[in-house]
Amino acid sequence: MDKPLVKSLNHTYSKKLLEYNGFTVTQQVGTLYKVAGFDNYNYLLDINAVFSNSPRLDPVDRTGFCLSAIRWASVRPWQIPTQQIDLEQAMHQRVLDLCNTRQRLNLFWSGGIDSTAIVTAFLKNAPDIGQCRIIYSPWSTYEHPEFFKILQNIPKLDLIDISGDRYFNLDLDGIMISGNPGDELHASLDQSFFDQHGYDFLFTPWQDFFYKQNPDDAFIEFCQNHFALSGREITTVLEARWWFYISSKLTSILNSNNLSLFVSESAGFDPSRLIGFFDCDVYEQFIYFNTDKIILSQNYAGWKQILKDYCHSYDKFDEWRITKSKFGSIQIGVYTWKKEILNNRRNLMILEDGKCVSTKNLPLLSKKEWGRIQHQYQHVFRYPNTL
Amino acid sequence: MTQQEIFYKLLIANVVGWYLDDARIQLHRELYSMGDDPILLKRRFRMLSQLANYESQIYKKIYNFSSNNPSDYTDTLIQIKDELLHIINKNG
Repeated sequence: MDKPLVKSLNHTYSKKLLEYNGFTVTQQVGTLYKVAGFDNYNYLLDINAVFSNSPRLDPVDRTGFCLSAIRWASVRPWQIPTQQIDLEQAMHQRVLDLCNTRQRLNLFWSGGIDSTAIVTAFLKNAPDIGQCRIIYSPWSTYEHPEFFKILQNIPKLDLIDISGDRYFNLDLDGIMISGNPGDELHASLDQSFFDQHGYDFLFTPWQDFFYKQNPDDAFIEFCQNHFALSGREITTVLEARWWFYISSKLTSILNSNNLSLFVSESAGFDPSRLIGFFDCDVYEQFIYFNTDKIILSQNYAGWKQILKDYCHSYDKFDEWRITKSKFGSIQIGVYTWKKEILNNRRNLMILEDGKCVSTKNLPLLSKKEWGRIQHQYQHVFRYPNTL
Repeated sequence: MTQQEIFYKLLIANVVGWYLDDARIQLHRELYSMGDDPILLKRRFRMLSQLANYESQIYKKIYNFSSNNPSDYTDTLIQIKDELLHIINKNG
C-alpha cells in the first residue's frame, strides 16, 4: 500500500486541520467547510445544504468530479448500472458474495428496517446460517421484539449482546456487516425533510427547488453537469436527492461511527473488515432502475416499503409491515463515543490502515501540537494547485 | 508557561469542574431514585466510575496542554461538555 489515505475525518477538528495546513476556509456549511480553490467540491456542500439544515460528514464524490482538500482512501467508484435485477436477486447475490468470503459474518442488528432486512436476507439465502453472528443490544429488542423471538429460536445462530461493558472490549473475528448505507441508497429521506415539504413536493422539478434555495445560475449549471454523470435522467427532487446521497454521501457515512468502534480498541483492526451490506454493485443495480419504489405511499411509513415487504415475506408480521417507519439508530454511535473517550482513543482522523491520527492532549488541540506530527501526514492533503 | 497560559488553564479547569459536578450530582440523584432496580443501579454505578476515570484523564490533559491561543482552550469547552453528556448518556 502507498501511504495510507483518510478513511474517516473527525469534523470537530477539520477546520483547525485545514487552517493549520495552510488552506483558506471561506464558509462554514453545517459542520463542513468550503475551501478556496475547490469550487466543484464547494458546490457539493451547497447541494448538501439544500437537502439538510445541518450538513455533517464530508461528501466524498464517487464520480471523481469534485475533489476536496482531503485525500480520501479509495472509494467504490461510481459505475452506471446496465443490468436490471429485482430485490430478491440483489439480496440473494449480496448474501452469497459475503458468505463466499468463508469468514464469520457479524451482522449488526438494531431492530430497524435496514438491519432487519439484512438479517432476513441471510436467513433466507445463507447456505449455512452458523456462519453468522447477530450483534445486538437491548435497544434492538425494544425496537423489534417479535423478530428477536424468531432469532432466539434459530439453531446454530449466535446472538451477542454488546451492551454493558462488552463493547469496550469487542474482539470479534471475521467481517463486521453494518446496515449502511441503506439510508443513502434510498435517498436518505429523513422525516424532517418529508414533514417540511410533503409527499407531492418530492416529485416536482429539482431545478425549481434548488433555485429557490440558492438562486445562482452557476450552481444550477454545476448540478446539471454532476447529475449527468448518473447516466440517467434526474428530473425530480427525490431523484436529485437520491443521486446526491448515493454518489457523494455514502462513503463518509460508512466510515463514521462504526469504524471508530473497532479501531478505538487497538491498532490491529483492519478497516476493510467493516463492510456496509448495501454498499455493493448488486444493490445499486436494483435501486438504479427502481427509484420510483423508494417511497410507496403518501405516509412517511411508505419509505423503504420494499424492504419491509421483503422482511414480511419471511416473518409475516403484518402490523410491522404497515406501521414501521425509520427510527434513527443511535446505539452504536453512543457506544463508539463512550469507548473512544474512556479508552482515550480520540482521533483527528483514521487512515485506511486503521491508524488513529491523534495528538496527546485531545480533545485539546493546538497548532504547536499538530506541528509535531504534521510532517507525517502531508500526503493526506490536496492543494488547489494540484487539481 | 506564560501568565496567559496559566490564566486559560485555570479558567478551563474551573468550568470543567462545574460540568463534572453537575454530571455527578445528576447521577447521584438517579442512584437514589432508581435504587430499587438492580440493573439501573448497576448502570449508574458504572457511569459514576467512568466519570471518575474521565475526570482524572481530562485534568491531566488540561495541565499538560500548552497554547498561547485562547481559542484553543475555549473551543474545547464545548467538546468536553459534549463528551460528558456521552458518558452519562442513558442510551449507552
